[in-house]
Amino acid sequence: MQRKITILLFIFCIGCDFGLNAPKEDANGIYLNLLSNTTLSIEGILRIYNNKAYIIGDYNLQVVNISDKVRPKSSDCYFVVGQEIKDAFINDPYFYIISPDTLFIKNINSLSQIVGKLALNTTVENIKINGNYAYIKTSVGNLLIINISSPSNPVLLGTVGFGKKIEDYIIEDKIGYLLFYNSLLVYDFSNPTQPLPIDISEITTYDGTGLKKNGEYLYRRGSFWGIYITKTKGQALESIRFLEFPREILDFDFDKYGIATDTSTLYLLNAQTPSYLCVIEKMLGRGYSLKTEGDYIYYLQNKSLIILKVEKLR
Amino acid sequence: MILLAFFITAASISGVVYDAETLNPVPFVSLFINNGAYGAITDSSGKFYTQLKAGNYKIKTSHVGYIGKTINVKLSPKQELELSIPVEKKTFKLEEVRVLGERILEPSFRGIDVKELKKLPFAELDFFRTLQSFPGVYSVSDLVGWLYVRGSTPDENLYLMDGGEIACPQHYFGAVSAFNVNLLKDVRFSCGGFPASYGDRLSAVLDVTTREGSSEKRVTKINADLLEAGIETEFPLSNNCSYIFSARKNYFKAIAPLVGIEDSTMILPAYQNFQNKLSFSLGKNNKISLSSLLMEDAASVSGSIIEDNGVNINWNNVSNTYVLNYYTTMLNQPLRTVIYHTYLSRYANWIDSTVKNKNKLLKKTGITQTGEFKFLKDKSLEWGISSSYLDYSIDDDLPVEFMGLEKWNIPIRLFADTSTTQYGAYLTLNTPVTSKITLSSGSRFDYSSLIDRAIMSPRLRLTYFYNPKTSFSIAWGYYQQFQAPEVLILAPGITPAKSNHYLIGIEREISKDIFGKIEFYENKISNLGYIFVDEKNMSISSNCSGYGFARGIETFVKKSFTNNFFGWGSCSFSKTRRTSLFNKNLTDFDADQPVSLNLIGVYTFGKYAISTTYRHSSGRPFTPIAGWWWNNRLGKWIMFKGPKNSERYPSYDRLDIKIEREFHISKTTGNIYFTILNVFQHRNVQFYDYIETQRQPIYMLPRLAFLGVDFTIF
Repeated sequence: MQRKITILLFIFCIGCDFGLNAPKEDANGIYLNLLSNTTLSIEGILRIYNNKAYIIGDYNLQVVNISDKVRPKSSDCYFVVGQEIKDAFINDPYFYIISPDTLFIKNINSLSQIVGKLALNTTVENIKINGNYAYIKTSVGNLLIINISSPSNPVLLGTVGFGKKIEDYIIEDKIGYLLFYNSLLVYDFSNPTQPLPIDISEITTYDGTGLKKNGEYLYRRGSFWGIYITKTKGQALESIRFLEFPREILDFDFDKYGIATDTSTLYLLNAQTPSYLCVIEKMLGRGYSLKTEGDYIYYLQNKSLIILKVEKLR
Repeated sequence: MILLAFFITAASISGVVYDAETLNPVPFVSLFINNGAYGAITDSSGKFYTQLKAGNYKIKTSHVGYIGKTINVKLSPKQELELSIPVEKKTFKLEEVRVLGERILEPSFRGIDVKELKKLPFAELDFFRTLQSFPGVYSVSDLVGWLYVRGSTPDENLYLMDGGEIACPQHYFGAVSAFNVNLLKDVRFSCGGFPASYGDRLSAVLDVTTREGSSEKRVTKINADLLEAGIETEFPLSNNCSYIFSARKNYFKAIAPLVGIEDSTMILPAYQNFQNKLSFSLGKNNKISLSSLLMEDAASVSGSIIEDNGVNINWNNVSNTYVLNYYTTMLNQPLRTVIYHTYLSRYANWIDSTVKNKNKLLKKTGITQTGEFKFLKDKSLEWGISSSYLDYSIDDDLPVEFMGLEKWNIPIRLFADTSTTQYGAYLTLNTPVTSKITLSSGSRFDYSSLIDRAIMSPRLRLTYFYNPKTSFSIAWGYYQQFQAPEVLILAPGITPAKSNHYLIGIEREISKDIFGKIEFYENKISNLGYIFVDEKNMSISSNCSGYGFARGIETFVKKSFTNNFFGWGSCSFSKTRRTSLFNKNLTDFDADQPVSLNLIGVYTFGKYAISTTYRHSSGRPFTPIAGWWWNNRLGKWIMFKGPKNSERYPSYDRLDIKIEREFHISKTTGNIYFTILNVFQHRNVQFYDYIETQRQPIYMLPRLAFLGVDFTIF
């Protein structure tokens, strides 16, 4: 009689690794790489133009050369217009600055010299430039239309009112997208002093300010802690979706990527398919005056200019 | 005096020569001692005896049908050495048996030598994984043995045991095979173009035949390792009746705490299976057998697996299959009757933020009768009829994120409870057309009461024997598979899924022990079931708009065991794209691996044997995470998927090595072996795990080494 006994012994495992120590990657291998953190002399609003970051404080301006994103070079601060600065807009080669009641035009390559100046006789808050016209929002929510075809001699053409206060606005290619507390309106600004309404989109809840445009998509903050995405089909509006966030969004911007921030977190958004806008990376941080261009993200945090780059793991 | 001196110091060698597979003694085996200087021969009981002087001897066995075995022994004066010498049969593979004009080569069928299979690393635990080393068969993970064959999904394959269908041949959706490889006699595997005797499947056939118990004596084997224990026993019940039985059970849950794995932190599987066969010989050409495969697996876990959600999972899977075979002859023609019953009950329940259930119950009872009618010397007509009754129910909760349902946040339930009767019949004519060309043409008819429709599936194959060593073949087959009941319940009357197989193959005997084959194939699949969300009615519906294709070229070279070596190599280039059950877009198939290379070799030298298995394949496609969005109602981040299967994992590489050594100690013979899996510890990615926006690759098997000892004690 034969008996056969088989004994299989597991003696040892060589270099077992069940993935517990595997390196962490980011979703789809995308991550935010901190390139630089530059200390500034002032706080303010941020404008990016031609490899320079302009930090516009209440009275001062600081320029940071960001040709080298890893080692930016900041200049000293200097007075710009001698008055409180409410807003600024760069339209090559001029720098348009508004103080509470005056428009100043400077050459961006020579900021010490005033090229043009115009008294506005009213309190203003924001300025946007499109073509040969400056659109300045007053504190009561009207628009001042100024001809800036001759920067040394800007001319006030008139004031346009809409019956309610503009919260935010974008003028692009003679089309204006005006955000009110309960509606988003599209106007034809072919005749700047007599804009014609094209389309209206009702907003059922007060959404606050914050309007950005990227391509044919409009993005605005929502009162339910998120971002609304609207498609501008031609000149009409089509609501696409609402992207929620766990907290109120303080600021955002869109270009190749979207960037948004709440009180504690910076969110990188996939802006290439707005219909499926979603968060592709997060990092702890809080900032304001967000700007994004290409793969780079710029924002201010206290008195620092932070530059990030969107990188892909290989 | 010399003679007296010889008898005073004479030693002796005695023992038995036995068949290594059946363990039966082999009579009349010649034993050549020291190249014929001495000799012996076994008697009718396989026993031998001879007297020799003290010294070193080399004993070599020789017998028709068996591979010669060489043993070195050293005799001391007056020593009475007892030996037990196992000898292995020489076997003929399907690829080797080809006689011009008398045998039709079956397309893409591979006869797998179970003894060769057992020599490969890891094969004893799960022989399904060794099937993945053949061209056309793809693996999606080291941890499961699912068979993805030429662009098909595992449910499009037919699994048979002794001619009867098996509902579930693997534990845990494919982690471990339920078959005990020691009870297998014959394994036939077809990657496509299978004949009309098989139907209601689109892709591949695995036809397993279990062996019968010993008709000579009782043999018992006990296996034990850190993961499972098993017992096999076989014995004759009478002169013409035998029985074989196998039971296996794992005890991972009992072992896990000893190696620091806590029950509450991961799923700990528990499985058991029982396999047996009762065989009766009722006289010449009459035989009856009853075989069964009973299996069960279960798992449960509770605790905080997900970071911010507690999870409770319960899983239980039971499958039993019984098959009755009756072989006889009618008018001197072979006749086979198979009656089978297979049963599957699967219950899964997991609770995180919601409750999800996956329940499935399947019972199928069928009878088939097949035969072959030979006529006019060289022609044959194969025929068969079948009937089956299927009772089927499924109750699945589909995930909230399924197909954009997140905006509704409504769990959708996939439910079906139905029964159907199916009938089938086939005819295949095998005939030479000329002295060098043979034709096999057939057709299959199937009927399902669930759709009240009969379908026809023709098959055709032409083989040209260029010379005795080279043949060319072309084949075409039209295959149909009735839609799953859960698809039919949503849209009754949907026609079956279809697949056209086109094959061109070249086979050649490169030498007497080397065989090569190149095969081009194209499978065009259509009418695949597709389940979608009907947004208007806020419900789910189905149609048969799914489709796809698979095409490729496969090469296969095999060397039979000669000069101490056997092995095979396969290389394939392929492309597969298809829709899936819940996605109507044509994308790269889940198991698409454009390049695949397998190299297997076993080399024996003296008492040692080394076996290696190397596999390389392209990375599988996967659906990336496009990003996340916050759901205020659920209070958490929801994953948002990108285009399906738009990215690929890194390529797969793995080398396994097994080293064996025979030994003889007194009356004991055995093997000691050392196996290393994933020798180079290549990090093959199984999938990506996500914790919000952080992605972490989860790898397949790491480098694993284990030692084993095999004893035979008399």
